[in-house]
Amino acid sequence: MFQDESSSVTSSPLQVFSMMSLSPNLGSPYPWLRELKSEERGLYLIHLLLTCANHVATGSLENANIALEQISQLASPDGDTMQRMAAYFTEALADRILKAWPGLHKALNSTRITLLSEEVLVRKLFFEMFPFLKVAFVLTNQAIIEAMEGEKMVHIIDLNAAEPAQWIALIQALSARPEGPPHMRITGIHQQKEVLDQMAHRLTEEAEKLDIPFQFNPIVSKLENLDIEKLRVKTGEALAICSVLQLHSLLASDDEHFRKKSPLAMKNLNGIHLQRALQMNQNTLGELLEKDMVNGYSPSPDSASSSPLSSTASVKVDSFLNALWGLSPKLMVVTEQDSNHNGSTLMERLLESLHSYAALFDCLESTVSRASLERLKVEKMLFGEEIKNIIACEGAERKERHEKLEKWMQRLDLAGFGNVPLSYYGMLQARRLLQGYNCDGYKMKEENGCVVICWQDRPLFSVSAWRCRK
Amino acid sequence: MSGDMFSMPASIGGFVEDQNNANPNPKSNPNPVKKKRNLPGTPDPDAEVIALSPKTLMATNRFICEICNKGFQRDQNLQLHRRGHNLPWKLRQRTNKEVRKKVYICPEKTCVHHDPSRALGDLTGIKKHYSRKHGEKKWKCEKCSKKYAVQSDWKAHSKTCGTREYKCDCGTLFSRKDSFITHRAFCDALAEESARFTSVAAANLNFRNDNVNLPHGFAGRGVQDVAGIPQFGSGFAQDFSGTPSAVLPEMVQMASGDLFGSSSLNNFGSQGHFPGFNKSGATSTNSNLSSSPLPQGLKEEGGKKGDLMESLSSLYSDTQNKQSKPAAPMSATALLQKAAQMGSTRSNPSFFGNSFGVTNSSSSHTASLSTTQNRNDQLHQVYPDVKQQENFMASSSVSMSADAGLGSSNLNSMTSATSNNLDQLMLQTGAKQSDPSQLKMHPSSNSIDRSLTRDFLGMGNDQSSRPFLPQELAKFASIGSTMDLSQFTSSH
Repeated sequence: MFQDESSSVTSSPLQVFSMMSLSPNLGSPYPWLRELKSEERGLYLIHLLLTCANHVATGSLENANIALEQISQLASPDGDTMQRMAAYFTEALADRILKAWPGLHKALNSTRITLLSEEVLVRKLFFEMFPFLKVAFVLTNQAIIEAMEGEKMVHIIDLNAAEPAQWIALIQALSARPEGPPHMRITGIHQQKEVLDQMAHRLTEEAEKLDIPFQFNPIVSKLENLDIEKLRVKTGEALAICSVLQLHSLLASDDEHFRKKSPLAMKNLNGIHLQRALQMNQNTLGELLEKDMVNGYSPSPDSASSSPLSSTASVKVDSFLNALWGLSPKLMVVTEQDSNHNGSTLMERLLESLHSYAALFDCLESTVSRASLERLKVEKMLFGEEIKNIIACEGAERKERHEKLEKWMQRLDLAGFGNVPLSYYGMLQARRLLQGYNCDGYKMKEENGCVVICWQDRPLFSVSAWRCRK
Repeated sequence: MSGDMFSMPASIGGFVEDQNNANPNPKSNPNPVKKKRNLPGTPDPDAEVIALSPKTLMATNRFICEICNKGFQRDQNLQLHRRGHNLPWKLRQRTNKEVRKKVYICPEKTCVHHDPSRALGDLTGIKKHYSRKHGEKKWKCEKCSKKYAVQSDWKAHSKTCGTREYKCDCGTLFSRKDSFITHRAFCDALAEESARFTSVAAANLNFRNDNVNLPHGFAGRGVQDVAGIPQFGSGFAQDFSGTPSAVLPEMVQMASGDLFGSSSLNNFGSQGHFPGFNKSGATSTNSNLSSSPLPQGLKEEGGKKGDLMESLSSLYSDTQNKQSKPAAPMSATALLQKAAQMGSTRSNPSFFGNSFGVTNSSSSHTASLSTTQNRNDQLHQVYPDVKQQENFMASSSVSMSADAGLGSSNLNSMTSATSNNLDQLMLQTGAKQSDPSQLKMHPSSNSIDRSLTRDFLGMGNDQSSRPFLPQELAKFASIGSTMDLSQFTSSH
């Protein structure tokens, strides 16, 4: 243990500092911390976060605890950007540590109340406070309008029917088209029936106002358990599928979860894994999978794969995409986060998500006041939960598996979809929308026919359109 | 012509009754001929004005065979048909005397062509006119559902429907060049205006309205713009003082220009920025059309001035993008970048797990060492310059501070190296650079630690606001954690 070292430490000049700092009886144990300016505090927080994450990754929980203690002195959910981020990241790290004691973790989370109204509110706030969803909707709708030119029967499947505004806008746009409105059918999938009811009400009301033949079919289901038959795609109708931030959760797979084993056993397993990695390299699944496998063979105790990462982890998403392909959609528009939060090691994910969520928190800092309760809710209930999922969860539990656009493009390509470049007019509309936000941090760029929405230089969301390639 | 018409010289005034005429059709038009001067383009003053009833005009087969009730459009055809029934038939011949020109008026009283002075000169013409204006539209285009009363109109349209040649960048299609050109002149301006005025609220953009405006505008734009040029100009006058008179002539000039595309694009692209509006034009590839609002561009005459504005604005936007606001607190993104940059001042290899493996309890020391080594193998593939693990381990275990025991010096060096590694790691993740993996000598790092401690103590005493050097900051942070560790263990 550290006993040997501690005795020698006391004789070092650093002893004075140590006596100054950690004694809990001194009230605020870190007087010097208060004198840190915001920038220095931010840098220090970053360093502490990384240190703490490292301790967590290696299993040195006592050190992690100390780091957490230090961070808690500086972090705060209503401070500046870095303080807020640190608060949520440390909560995620603490959650991760706690998962090592499942009983404790469950007991602490057993009385948590999740109000549906709050969830709905937070989704609405995300829609209002950021342009991302609106840009995605504008691009999606424009792509649908263009693909459905001349079609009399249009069927749209929304993989996450939560925001009626998107389809109201589409209904209005289609009713105004020169050839007259088509017969419209929208199938909405969601886990909560109340949300679908509300959506059905709003959409049918709008369609009746405009006198359009319209039908809304709700499907209460989780996406991974979706029964394709329930979608009732009929022959002769033109099908469009809209997926907004849904596909990445299908990348979650149990096989990736690696329970903690003794280091010696891990060492042996490493050898096996490396062998299999070499074997898997012979696969013709493409460079994408190779790279995944390389990353997947991390022998760190907190995350590793006990079987080839990609081939099993992507089974769910590939089979889902294949099922969608089997419906022969005329168009599929995919909106996803454009960040790599699906690294196999904690540190990878932490570093990536630090950058991504820094950008998102900066968005809020630039557009909303620090005192805003809405901002707090979005940060806590949306971003905080995502961060917690990315950092603390593993295996099938970790749903927020965001990946970069090029990976999605490869995946969709493999599933038999061909890219449809987004139209100039759609992008023009989207740009105007961004301009209307009066915040010049938001940027939009085009990448191989797809649109990437960025904050400053950091890409955050991507929108791409696909057709069924026979 | 059969005798259901009422003819009258156009120039004769007075009211003439129609009772005298043999009229098979019940409804015959009285013809109140007014005495009027001829307008230019109107019919020959000596022409015979003929007023036909609506039924007559719409009738397709006016000549009916009495035997089989078959209808014919012409008397001659009926006569020929009567031959088949062995009925007496007679083909009338063209009159030899000079045929008086006939003009026709529309029976609809509210119509312009109801007036004899605006009579139409052709029977077919008046028939089509009546159908088009006052008749029911029975013919419908399959492609676009546009309806027509006259079959020939419908046929002509069907041929060209969908074969439009001109397409504006905004997606609207035109079959005519002139309407296309006019539309293009106003296209972006119109849409930008509508976008700006519908999305006024900064944070609470009414997405619904915005989207409604744009597609609606898109759908109807082809028609609207052509008709609405004067309105557009006046609209400008309301909102942007001083522009309207300049707008229209310029636009017309542009419209008539041969190189319309290039000149208009130049003009649009050369517009200056409205202060406070989006400056992403500099970064986007479609900056010309999308980033610049129209009005200022319209104020500017030449391209040169506009180009200057554009370059100024792009400069402005670049500086906006690259600089973080110096006065306000640094954004998290900027902080992360800075932290990554701080790592570049170090030169340690970037494996971070190593030292932490060492700081574990001794019982798991070797095990964690091996795991971290293996992990670093994997990291090696991702972060290519991770090498020299053993070297580092050896050197760090060897390096000792003069005043601290073995353990603490290891801790010191380890954790300080750790901080370096983390910064390195951050640097590599953020900037993807390969860094020189030279090893710093640890005795020196210890001394730096000590000096930093003194600095820290100095600051604590003096309450000075000397900003930390980045290196010092990271180092004392590492020391802090070191101390925490030792404190922790000493308390146990």
